[in-house]
Amino acid sequence: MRPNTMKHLLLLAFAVSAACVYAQDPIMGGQLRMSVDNASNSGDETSGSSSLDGSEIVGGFNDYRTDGTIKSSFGVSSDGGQSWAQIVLRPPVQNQTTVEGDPMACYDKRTNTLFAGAMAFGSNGGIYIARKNAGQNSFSTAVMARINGSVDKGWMDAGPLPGNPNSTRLYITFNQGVIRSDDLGNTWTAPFSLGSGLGFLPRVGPNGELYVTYWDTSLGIKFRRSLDGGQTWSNAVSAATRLATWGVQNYGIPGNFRNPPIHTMAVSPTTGDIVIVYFDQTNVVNNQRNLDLYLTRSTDKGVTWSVPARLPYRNINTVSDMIFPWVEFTREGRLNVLCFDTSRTPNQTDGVAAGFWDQDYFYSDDEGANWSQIFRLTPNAFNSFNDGRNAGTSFMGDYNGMGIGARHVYPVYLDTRTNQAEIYTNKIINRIEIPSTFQWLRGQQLGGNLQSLFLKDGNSATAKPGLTLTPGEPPIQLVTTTTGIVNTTPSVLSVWMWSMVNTPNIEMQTMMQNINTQNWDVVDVRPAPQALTNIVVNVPNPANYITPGSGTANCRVTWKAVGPVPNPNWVATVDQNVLVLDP
Amino acid sequence: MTPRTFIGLGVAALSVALVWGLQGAAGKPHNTSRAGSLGPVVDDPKEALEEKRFQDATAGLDFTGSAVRVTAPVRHDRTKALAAYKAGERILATENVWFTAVGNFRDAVVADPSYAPAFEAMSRAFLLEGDVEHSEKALKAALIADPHFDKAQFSLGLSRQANGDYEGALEQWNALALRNPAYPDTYARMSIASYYKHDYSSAWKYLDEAQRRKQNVPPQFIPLLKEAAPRP
Repeated sequence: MRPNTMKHLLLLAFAVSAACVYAQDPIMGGQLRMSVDNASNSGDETSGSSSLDGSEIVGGFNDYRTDGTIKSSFGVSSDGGQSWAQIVLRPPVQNQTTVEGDPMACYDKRTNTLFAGAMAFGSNGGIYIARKNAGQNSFSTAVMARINGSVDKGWMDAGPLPGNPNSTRLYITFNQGVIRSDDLGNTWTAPFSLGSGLGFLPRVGPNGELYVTYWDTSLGIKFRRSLDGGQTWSNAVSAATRLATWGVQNYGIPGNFRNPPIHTMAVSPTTGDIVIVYFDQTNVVNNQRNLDLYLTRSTDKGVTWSVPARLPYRNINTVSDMIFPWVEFTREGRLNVLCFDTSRTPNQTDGVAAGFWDQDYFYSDDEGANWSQIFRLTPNAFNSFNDGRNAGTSFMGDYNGMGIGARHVYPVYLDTRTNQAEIYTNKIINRIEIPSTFQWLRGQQLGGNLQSLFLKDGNSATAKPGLTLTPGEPPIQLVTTTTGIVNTTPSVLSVWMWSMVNTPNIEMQTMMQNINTQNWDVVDVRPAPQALTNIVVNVPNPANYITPGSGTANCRVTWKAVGPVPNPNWVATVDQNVLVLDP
Repeated sequence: MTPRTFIGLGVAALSVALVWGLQGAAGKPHNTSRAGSLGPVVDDPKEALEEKRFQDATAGLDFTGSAVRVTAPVRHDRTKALAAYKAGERILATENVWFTAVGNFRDAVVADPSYAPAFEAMSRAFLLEGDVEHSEKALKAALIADPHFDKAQFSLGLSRQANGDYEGALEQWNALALRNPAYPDTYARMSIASYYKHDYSSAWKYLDEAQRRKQNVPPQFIPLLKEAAPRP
């Protein structure tokens, strides 16, 4: 992991320690428009999800149709975002209303199924759900998950039942509580109330833990959990107490659109830790209220929460705002954040009709301790007033969305640069492939966590020389196997390591197993560094080392003495070992 | 969440008129205009739906003044008021349907306008829809019915702060602290409001009092206050 140059964000130095290090930045794709239907005036309130390999994507949004109705549309791609279709998802005829919206989406990795849903507002309405047809830009016929004229704001998620990885349970949380389905959305339970609040968001942990966060409409960011698949629930705990609170109103930002303090949550698939990111008023500078993002984290399944930390993307004495964060983890534990940001048009005035905003992406590889630079998604700042709705105040949709699949991140957001609120995404490709197994082929582990080598987390694995079978064989050898690599013919394949030894005259070799000869080809030889060092080994002819179909690549790193070793108790230390690929 | 902009509805006509005026004066759309859409404001079906819900739920109430006023014939029936109030609280606690809850609380205050808890609960129901304006009017009605209603006064302070009126918020919380210094979190809120208005010495003073009383001071606040102004 290399120190980030942080060209774009010198401000970060204000709050982050100088010793921080960053992971490999992703490849940022340009803006792709999801709302490609010309029968729309405007779109907002986004939600997104993606299949495991990132090839299938749905991004939902409120769709203000030219016929004067509002419907829920989904931008759909079945080819990794190269082409898009816009599909209006309707409930069954008898449940259709003139106002449909509040889209939601989720993915079940066990069955490789993408789900999309929304709400029909009206006495005959309710919540409706459909499945994306795999490989096709279409959905199954929607079914009603809840028929009720009073449903409002929901989100959904899917995951295994606790203790049963071969199961799938779908959850929708909304104003009336939580409902669940065990048959991939065909039938649903009646709601179980989660109490008084707004913006109930469900997330399923790696072992089927069900977590819900919501705003109590006052100062509280609340959290509840169920460890039995939604049958029984903990009492609500406070994940954070806000500094300021306001309603579903315009508050402290340039632009006259409402910005309710709705927050978001994600669960790390690697550690099981939970993060909540929300926006709050930090201070008042030059009579302008400054709204920043804050993160709180739980490492004990939501029992206790850290002191909320302000994300260090604004000098505290300048005027700018970040709002509407959306967070999702990728499978290697990278925390991805999407939000609205005014920092490129600083010193705007709160409450003016025309607010100029960008949509930003950034990430953290250590659950919020350190942060990447900001990546701007919008080519130019957009005017929030030009939302295309022809209403007295503009509307920016209350929240963002994001889909995650394999190494792909798809933010789902609006931009008004066409003088309408249109919905866009960017294909963000995380370049890291995580080995599925790490093992010492030779050597004896002394400490650290071998299985956390996908992260540069300071939890280094250390090994001392072990028995060898042949003369001259390196006495310490680390072998990693990476599977499921989607692109088996990348233009660049690198082995990315942090490593060191505690004595001079140790040679370090990196080898890749050739898929044609099955031989271990030496791709790098160097003196092993004596301080923890980021080593990047570029592998020539990458296609020779990745098996088509399975996407498997085997890597071996060895250490052996090549001269006098002053320290007889020498060890090799590794803090990260991953593959990095460019398309 | 269904967009509803009661606050915006009043502002809408003003905004459009302003845009027209600017366009006429400058000869081209001002940058606050909606390019290509300077015609009359069209009905937003979401807003129309929520407006209808609001009108249905609040029939018999008048929101034109600073506080909610009952215009329907009053029954002075506390029993009926209590029953409607409990029904509304049940909706708030379980289903979060703001317009049903507001309707229940409307029934309660029509049955007995002196029953302050129904107005306070109505304010919370409006907050479920994020409607601070009508929530505040309900809080003021609660305080008219019972000037010593601590919970309503604390919430009115929050409402004032949500409108950027730190002085007004402090006024409410000061009054509450004088009457009932043990009420939870009043000093913590006074400290934060003082910090926002750059009255750092008061912010420190209230923070000390809040901590002495073991109130819920958001832990992220203290470093912000320290950065803004060291302890005097």
